[in-house]
Amino acid sequence: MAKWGMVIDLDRCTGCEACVIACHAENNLPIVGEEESAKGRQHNWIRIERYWEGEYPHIRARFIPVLCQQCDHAPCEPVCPVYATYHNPEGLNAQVYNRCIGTRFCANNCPYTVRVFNWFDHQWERPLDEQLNPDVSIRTRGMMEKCTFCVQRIRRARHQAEDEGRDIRDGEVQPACVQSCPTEAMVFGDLDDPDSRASQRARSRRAFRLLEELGTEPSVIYLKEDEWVEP
Amino acid sequence: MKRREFLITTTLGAGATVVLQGRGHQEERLIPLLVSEERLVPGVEYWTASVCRQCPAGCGIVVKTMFGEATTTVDDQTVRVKRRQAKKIEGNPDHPLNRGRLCARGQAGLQVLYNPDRLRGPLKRTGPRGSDQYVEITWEEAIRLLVERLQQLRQRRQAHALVFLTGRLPRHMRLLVERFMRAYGSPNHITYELFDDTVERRANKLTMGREALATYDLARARYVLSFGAPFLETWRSPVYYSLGFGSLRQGRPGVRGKLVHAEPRFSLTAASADEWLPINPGTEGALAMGLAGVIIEEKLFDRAFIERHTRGFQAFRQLVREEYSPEPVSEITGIPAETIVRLAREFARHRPSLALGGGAAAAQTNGLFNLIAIQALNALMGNLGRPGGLSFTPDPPFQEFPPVPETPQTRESLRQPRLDRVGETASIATFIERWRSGQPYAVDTLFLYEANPLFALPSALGVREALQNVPFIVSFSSFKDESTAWADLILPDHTYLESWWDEVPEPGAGRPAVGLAQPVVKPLYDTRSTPDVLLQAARSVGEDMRAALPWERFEDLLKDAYRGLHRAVGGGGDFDRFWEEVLKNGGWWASDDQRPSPVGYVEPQTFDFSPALSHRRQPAFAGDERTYPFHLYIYPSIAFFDGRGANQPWLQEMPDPMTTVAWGSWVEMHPRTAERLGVSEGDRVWIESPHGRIQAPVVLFPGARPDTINVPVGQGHRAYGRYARNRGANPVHLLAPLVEPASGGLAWAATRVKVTKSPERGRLVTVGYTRVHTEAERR
Repeated sequence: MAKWGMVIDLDRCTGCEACVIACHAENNLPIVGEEESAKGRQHNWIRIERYWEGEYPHIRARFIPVLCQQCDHAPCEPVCPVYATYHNPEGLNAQVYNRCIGTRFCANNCPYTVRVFNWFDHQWERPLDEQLNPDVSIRTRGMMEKCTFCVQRIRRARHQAEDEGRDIRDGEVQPACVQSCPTEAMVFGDLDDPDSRASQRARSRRAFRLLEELGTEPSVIYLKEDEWVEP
Repeated sequence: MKRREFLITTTLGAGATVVLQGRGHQEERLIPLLVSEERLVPGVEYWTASVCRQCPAGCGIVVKTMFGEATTTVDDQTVRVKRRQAKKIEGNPDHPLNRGRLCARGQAGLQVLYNPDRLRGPLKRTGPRGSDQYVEITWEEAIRLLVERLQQLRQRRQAHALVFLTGRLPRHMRLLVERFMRAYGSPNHITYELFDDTVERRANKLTMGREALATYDLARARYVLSFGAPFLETWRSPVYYSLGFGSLRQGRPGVRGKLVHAEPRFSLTAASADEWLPINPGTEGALAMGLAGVIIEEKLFDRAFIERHTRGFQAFRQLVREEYSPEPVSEITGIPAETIVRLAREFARHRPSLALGGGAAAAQTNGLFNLIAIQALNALMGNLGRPGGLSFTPDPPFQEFPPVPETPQTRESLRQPRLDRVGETASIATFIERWRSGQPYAVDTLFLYEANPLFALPSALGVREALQNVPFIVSFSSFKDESTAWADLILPDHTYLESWWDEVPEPGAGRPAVGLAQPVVKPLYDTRSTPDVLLQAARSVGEDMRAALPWERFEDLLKDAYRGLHRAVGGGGDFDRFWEEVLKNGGWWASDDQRPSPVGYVEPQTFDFSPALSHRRQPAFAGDERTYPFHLYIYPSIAFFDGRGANQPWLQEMPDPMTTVAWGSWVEMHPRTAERLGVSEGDRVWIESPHGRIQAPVVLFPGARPDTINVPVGQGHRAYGRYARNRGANPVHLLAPLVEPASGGLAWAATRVKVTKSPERGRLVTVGYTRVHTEAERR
């Protein structure tokens, strides 16, 4: 059984948002429009946070792609009154849509604010609806949703591996964000396999996790930006 | 055999298609559209290779299609139909340019295909120009109207008065349009892009003898100095350069490369750099000369290369010695002298080190000098054709077609002067001026293809007057953009995911490559492939045109062209098999280790320094400094590029990474400047140049120069469908009609503006997760 994790190298990340659109396309995320965007109700399972540092002309901007951290000790899980959010054996923090009753307790308890609530039933102008991915269900009004590490892709890969009587190969599963990333800043894989590319990158001296001190044990590992030192 | 395998085998067996090696999933198969839709298995993913057309880079893509149900309208009745649907676009993992990666715009291509505002069939104008009154017509009538027009023009001996205005067309589409125009007898196939490459081509021609775009090998460099080119966002080949950037930074154990970026705006590329130089606009060349001066003075250049492979070095050395020592350069550029010395030493000591210039550095009245001076840095490092340096990618060996035969009539009309050309230099500005004035001859019929001059050219050039006066306009656009809304006849093209076409990426990936696109899904509407329409029209216009363009369909032309490729690299096998292989792979590329290869690599051998002397100019700006105290810095938006992406809702809703603004335009202003003008974030301001004014809300931007106002290009459409129309402002209309004189490139970074607070209220939507401004909150 794999322990899925992601490593994001901030020294490579440029903040280009390719991952954001890839996620929209893969996971049937709705477009909420200008009005709802202004109210902070955009549907993004991954977002690029931008932080300014310093003053002109010595200004810096730092980007962090933030998605569900798939915590091992997930603060969202124990507060759900109907067990809609739970931990699966592969370390995924899963959301069972048809159990969710929309209390939004989970979102309130998530320190990373990565959960998105459906305030409305969303419409896709025809024929934009033809693009919708049949592997991912459309969420309806009153449901909480979030990044799944593209569980549908994991499942497809597992079915194929089972058919061929083998384990999933390293790199065989790539969530949509990882797959699109133009600088190869993101790597996905089995953190229990010490030889996986993700495990190798996770051993970097630059590795850290978001709000590590909360003890949430995230499965997303970041590598901090490196400094150029004259060799 | 398992049931699923059985189904796939039976599905593909009769379809004369190749069953391909898996690409990760058992169900995934890269197949051309040879499998009929009835044979598709529901729930199974099929992958078809194609090429992205959201910008001119030419990345390879694979498109996931699945069998699905759609609700559609047939004869005013809503019906359910089953058809192949495109579900996801991803980078083609084998394509050498983007190696499986794809940017946000590329991902959003599905919303071009499934855009609710697509034109659904040919239209004929019935009301006055611009009134948007059209009547649907059949393709038979549409082509009859087109052919009649072309025949009449020829009968009046005015064939040269046909102008085909296009964007930068992909490889064989360009060849087709050029042959069409030659066979018809008009010299006027005119190409332009707002963010064009004219200046760069001319700089490379003058210094290295290649009128081409260079490929910069970031991946193997250790130190990169970039001047004005936002290569991680929109410049040339952003995915290829992003891959290179990733490797520059962390791709090699023990090596962590450095990026230094000089640009008047703190762009996304600047934000990713280790060091940003907020350089005075138009002084990029002076900075390069200053760096060259230190490198030469301290003898840090590649002496062997300079001696063996360059010309004009002595005079160049004398010039930088006399005029470009660090102090005066610091005065010109605004970069401290000690920084210049330090960067020159770092650059020269950490090789391979690479200099690349473009974007706003080229879009000045002295843009050519800027780029020549920047390339001189590469010559000093001996970077030509070396790993971690720059190179030019040769064209794949396609079949050459026999020259278009001339008739007495076409010979006469082809002798007429090309409307955009004076001597060696072609410029869109020259064209618009002559078009407007009707001198030396009037334009009678205008074809518009992948060009929207009313939106993406400065209105100060007089585009509107010119368009108003042309007797007949035909647009081949898939969407009713600003210029298409003025057309007399609209013959909508398929979108790129429904068409046959191909593209040789330029800049390439360092080895010969071509991406081949095939229809991924059946056309959704009653649209027609523009190259097919041109071929059909050519057959009807006259026997001579039929002889020059003998192909029934564009697909046949492509196949013929690839016969030459097959002969050169196919290894003697069967052509049909080679063609299937090319379709399956999404193109052809030389393998990585094919150096030297049968197709041959041409690398620049010599560098001439003397153009740095002969083309030396100071930057000039439009607008008096006292009346117009700010530089206007426009830039292609990462979401919409030059505006073509604004009709895609994914891109509209995508927060701009630097400002987090969505669904609108904005003006970036330094906080101190804003304070001085008495405006705060979200306030609307008027930006006024000698040529126009626009209004947009302010974003306080710590990476703005205090004397510069930054405005992204892309919004401000007055047509182009529900997501784009009447949203934001188009800063292109502020631009003065300046060009770089030697190359004819538009100098879009050389206009000055003034800023005044507007009493009007509006909305700035920022998705900063902490910062949300709405009108209600500010009241």
